[in-house]
Amino acid sequence: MEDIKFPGSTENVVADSKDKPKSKKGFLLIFLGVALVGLLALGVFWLGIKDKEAKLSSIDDTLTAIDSLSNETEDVEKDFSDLPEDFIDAEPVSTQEIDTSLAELETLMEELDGLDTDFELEASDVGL
Amino acid sequence: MRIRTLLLSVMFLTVCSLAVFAQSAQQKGPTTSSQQGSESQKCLDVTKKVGLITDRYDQKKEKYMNAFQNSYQNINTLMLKLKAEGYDTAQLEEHLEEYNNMIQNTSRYYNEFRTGIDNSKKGVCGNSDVDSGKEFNTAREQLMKFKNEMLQLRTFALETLKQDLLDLKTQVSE
Repeated sequence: MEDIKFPGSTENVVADSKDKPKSKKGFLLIFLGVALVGLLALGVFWLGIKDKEAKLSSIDDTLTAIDSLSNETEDVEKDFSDLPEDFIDAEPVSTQEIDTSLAELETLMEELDGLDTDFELEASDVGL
Repeated sequence: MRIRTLLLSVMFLTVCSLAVFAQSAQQKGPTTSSQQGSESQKCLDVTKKVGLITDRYDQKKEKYMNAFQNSYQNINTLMLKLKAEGYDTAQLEEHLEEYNNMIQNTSRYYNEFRTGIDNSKKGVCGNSDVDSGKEFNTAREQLMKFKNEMLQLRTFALETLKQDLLDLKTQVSE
């Protein structure tokens, strides 16, 4: 007697259950591949941003250095003042003259020590 | 009688001439040595003054030149890096070359100032036949050129190079 195969027989059920994990695996692999490509693209994009930031930061640092150069060299005019015409012929200033001037200045400063108390004015001093 | 008078006159004149000569020689001697003394004193004074001023200027020059040279190095390194990455740095490159030439000129002016002032000192001290006054004026001119070139360097960095860097920044940001 010939075997009749019904569509809902156990053999078909076994075959179906073997195909399902395969398609699931394929889907998972595709998903993983897309995710990996996505991650790579994200990584490249992130590195690009970081690189750009680094370049901009380098430019900013150089701009800051130019600003500090401006501060460092602001005294050029003062530091390289012209030499007097009579530089060669003029008498040199002796250290003794400088010492005398310093001593005079010190005496003057001592005399000015009482400036605060000399010019103090309390309300009671004028009967208020 | 006449011959005797003539002989006496000749003798008198000879004695007088000798006396005048001796006196003038006596006067001339101390004057020359005092002149030499004052010249050597002037040499000492000038040497001292030149030493003080050049020491001070040398230190300041070193400080300023280092600042300008460092800024050149920094900008040049950045420019080369950006150029290698394909950015348009032609303008900055051209201006940097100009800036570097200005730095070299500044250094040259200072060296000429030093030479002038040293020659002037040598002229005063008698170590050279040069006109110390003329050499001193040359030194002053070079010092002024040096100062003006440094002021221009400063302005160039602050205006031109800064603008080039800002343009590059815009280019990188795009």
